[in-house]
Amino acid sequence: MTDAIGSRTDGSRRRFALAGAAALAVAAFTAFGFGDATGLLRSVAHQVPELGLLVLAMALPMMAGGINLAIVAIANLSAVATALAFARLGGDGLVAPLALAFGLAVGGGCGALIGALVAHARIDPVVASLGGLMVASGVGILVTNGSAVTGLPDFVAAAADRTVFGLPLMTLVFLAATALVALLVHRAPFGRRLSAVGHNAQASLYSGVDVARVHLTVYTLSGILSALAGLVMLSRFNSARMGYGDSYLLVTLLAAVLGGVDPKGGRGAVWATVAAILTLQISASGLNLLGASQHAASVAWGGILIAKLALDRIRA
Amino acid sequence: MAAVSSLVVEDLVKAFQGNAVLTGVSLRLEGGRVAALSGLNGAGKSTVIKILAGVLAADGGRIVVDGREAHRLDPAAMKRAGIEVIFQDFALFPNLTVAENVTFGDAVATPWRLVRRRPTHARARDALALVGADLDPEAEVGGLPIADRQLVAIARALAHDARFLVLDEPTASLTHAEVQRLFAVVADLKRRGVAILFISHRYAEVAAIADEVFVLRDGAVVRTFARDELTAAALHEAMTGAASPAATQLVLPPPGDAIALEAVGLGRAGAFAEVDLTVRAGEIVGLTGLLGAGKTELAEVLFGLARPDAGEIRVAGRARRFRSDRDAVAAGLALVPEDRLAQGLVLPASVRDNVALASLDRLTDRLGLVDRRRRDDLVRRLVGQLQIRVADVAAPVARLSGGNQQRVVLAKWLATDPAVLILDGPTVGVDVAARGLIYDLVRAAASRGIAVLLISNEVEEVWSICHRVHVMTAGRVARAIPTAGGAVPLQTLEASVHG
Amino acid sequence: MAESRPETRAIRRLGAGMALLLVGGGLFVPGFASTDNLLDVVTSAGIAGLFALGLLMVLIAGELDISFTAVASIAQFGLALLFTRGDLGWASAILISGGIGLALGLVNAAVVTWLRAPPIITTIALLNVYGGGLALLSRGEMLYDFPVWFSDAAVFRVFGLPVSLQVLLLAVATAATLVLGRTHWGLTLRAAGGNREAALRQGVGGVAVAAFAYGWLGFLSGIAGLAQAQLLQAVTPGSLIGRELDVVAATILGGASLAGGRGSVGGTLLGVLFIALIGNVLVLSGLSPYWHQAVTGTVLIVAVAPFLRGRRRAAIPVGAS
Repeated sequence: MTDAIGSRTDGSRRRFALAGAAALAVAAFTAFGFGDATGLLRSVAHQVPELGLLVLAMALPMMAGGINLAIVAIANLSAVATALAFARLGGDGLVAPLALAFGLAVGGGCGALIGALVAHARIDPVVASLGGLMVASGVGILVTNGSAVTGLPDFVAAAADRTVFGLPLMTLVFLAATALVALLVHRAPFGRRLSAVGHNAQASLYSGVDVARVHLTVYTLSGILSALAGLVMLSRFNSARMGYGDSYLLVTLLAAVLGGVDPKGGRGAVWATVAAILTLQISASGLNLLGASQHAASVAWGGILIAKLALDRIRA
Repeated sequence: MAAVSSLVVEDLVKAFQGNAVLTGVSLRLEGGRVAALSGLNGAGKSTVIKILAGVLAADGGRIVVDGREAHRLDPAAMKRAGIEVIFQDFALFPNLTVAENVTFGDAVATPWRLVRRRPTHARARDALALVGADLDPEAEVGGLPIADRQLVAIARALAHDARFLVLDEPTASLTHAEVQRLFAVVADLKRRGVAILFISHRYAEVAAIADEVFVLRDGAVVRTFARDELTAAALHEAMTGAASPAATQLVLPPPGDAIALEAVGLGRAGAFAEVDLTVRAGEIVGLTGLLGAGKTELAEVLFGLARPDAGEIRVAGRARRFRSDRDAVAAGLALVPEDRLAQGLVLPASVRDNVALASLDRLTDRLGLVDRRRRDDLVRRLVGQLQIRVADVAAPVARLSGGNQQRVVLAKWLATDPAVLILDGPTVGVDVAARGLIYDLVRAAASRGIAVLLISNEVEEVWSICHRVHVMTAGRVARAIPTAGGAVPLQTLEASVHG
Repeated sequence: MAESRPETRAIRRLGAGMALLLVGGGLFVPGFASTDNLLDVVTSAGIAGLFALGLLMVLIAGELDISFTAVASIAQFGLALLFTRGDLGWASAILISGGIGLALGLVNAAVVTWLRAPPIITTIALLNVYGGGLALLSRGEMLYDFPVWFSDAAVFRVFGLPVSLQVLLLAVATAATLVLGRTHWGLTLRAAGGNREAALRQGVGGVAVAAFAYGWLGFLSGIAGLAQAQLLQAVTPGSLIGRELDVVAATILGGASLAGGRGSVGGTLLGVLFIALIGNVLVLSGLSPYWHQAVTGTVLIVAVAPFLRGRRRAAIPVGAS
């Protein structure tokens, strides 16, 4: 049995351990099998932070029984917003934090818009986030004319290679965000309410839970996490464009589901989803080294997602 | 129809995950006769109905239609055999028109024929005429009032050539006039040779309409009455298995003086109006009346889930305007809702999470995180105090029995230290033994000074456990009748509900 | 009837929006009010229209599928592949592309019903499996050089008569109207979408309904694949993929609801045409084409928000089962 959010007992620990072991096994196999451990690690370390942040952005709405199809569009729009702020204001002194905050605010705003549609207009999350996706990517394309925004201050690209205490800065950002989300979901009252709303919104309402606020918070957080992912991508690509990470939607869904997030809502374990994205990313890099294409990954991820859902169905 | 049709049910047996729900149900329906099936909540009525509808398969037993045993027992086969069930929720399609709903079976029976408008309307009108309903065939069913929807459901069954019509608690949400109309329809169908099974536990209805009565208790038909053998006391005894325990009133703690909850001229359009009501600390006040009288709506307004259009709610003497139920909780109110499974509990979540759900804000530490030790202490204390039988508080609440589940809901609200406890149908679907335990808990809460407003459709329940009882009729609340200490006999109270 | 159906309200709103666009476009946008331009708009909406009329059935049944663009891509690729092997007539071309689509639609129905996971998640997975699989098999190559008869200025021929995309769309719309309003299948579909549990108690619904809805969408996706191949005279794997969410938006705009049981053929066509018209007006009036998506998204949000609020009032209370 999967464990409910909030009480991270044996179920999710076992899941986390399993996923972690899988990640290590795949990593070891790939590294030793192809003799390019550093190359593998580098490529994994590069992509995991942005993907991991997007997985969190996807997992939170799913735990509440919804979905956010707009995460990648929001990430890109936030990166564009920050990039344009840099272009307009330059990169000196206080401007940098301002530009970053602007990007995060744009992401949070998009999330809040979707959240308001879900919470107050009672629109199905699929439709609400589809609307959010169209508006976010539409505005992004409009302001960039569909091309990449470049000419960023040097420290943006440099941040991707910065290390703090020997760990890449972006990895630290990701781990910090994960720790905060885990605290919120597993230890704070919000997590219990999130789980209750995901399982049964009506009973939550009758228990004094502010269901609308939970939805609003979840989608706003999802937007902010997406924006954070967008900023990480901005640094990695040293540019912003509304088409980066087009293939990320599936892999984030897959990682969330593999990590134990119930697609019907109510359940989920934060660290397990992180282990899942790690495993997937190492596998993807392995596949890449094997010469397989992006399309092979699409087929594999889609197949694994269906297989996992089938497994849950058989066990239910 | 040459011969009189007959439906014989023999020794129906059904268990869910090892829990025996039906242990031997035998019934006999005959064309032109009305049989009643009576039993308390939880006796197994709905399981019998679902088996007759072909929705559930029985584990054992036989169903014989006109002398021929029915073997395939799915919904389509049951319809072919002429068995039609009118469920309590009517199982209609809200987005389809009246005509489309009524003639739904035609389309299913002849899948390759085009649906044509004029014949469909004519068919629908004919079927509706049988139940005396004059409805626009093009109206969407979702927009109709409840009583009309019921007639559409019956008309659909008749359009399917129903020979055996099962009506599941059909009067539950009807007004007096609508009940009379329904009875006239049933009498007319009886004349036409339809066999009717009328599910009800109300003596007055059963006595008015049934030719014979099957009494279901704990999953078996324990007694059959012919029409002239039936008395209220005998029916009650057969349903509960006890010789008129109705005569007993529970000993209640004396109420306090301070008024904890007060409604003054409270009203909400379309639900209730000019409601005056007071509950003192330590007092148990009953609110009873027919289904649809507005009791649940009143409870939801008192608890801030809906807003009143008129009047005032006062808690401990202070006028309150609740914007949501969170305001009500903050003011010291708690509501155990009527629909335990949909509104009371988060079924897949653990007992622990359910119990703590309403009081999470008081269980945080300095960092704003849930203080697990305090939460676990609270949960342990309440689980013990309320005698919730559960091996592990991390187990999902869905696995508990009805009585234990209801106590989890109670525990959730007692955890908030309420001053006022509103209980809406607290013993629905709870077996007799567990009921006693819930009554004990209610009395214990009152003796600790909690003001209790107990809402129930069962007149006897409020009569036996309340200091005073309000009767609600069509959105109006009558002045409270003192009941404690045998002030008023049960019959008087019942008369004021049904009169 | 006391209250108009949500479908009617959606059509009324879209009709008003269309009228505004047409009048505004006719008055202020040069070149807009010509027959050629308006026929072009219909053509440009044709493929999306075919998809939307397919998706409509799925939404009415209370389901969702977004893998249809990949299904269409596979169908047209299969067709193009067969073209390179030998000559086919129109009839076989239609049968092959429609057949491939139908088969994949039935696969979707089976997977979605059996998994019982939210269909959005299941069909995102299927979209990627189909799309990725096709890209792998085709190695991304473009297929062209079709038989001469396939290059006529018509999507296809029935008994030798040319059928343009507009006519095809109209024919499919008529068929969909007939199916929904006049056949047992349509009635069952709407019933199951409106109250699934009640449909099961009436002995209908379940797998059959899903198979019909997803199969219909699959078949139309195949036809849409054929139509697009004919229009472009080339098949590029992936050229259709990515348009699925726009089709969902258009269908929802037309009054269909993810909750099931709601939606109309007229509304769906209007939704698709409305989005195409917006694009046309934006292009002709010299504004950046990049406005299109932002405007469409805003229109979707604005249209849907009050729509659902109105619907909640009319909703039947869900009874305990």
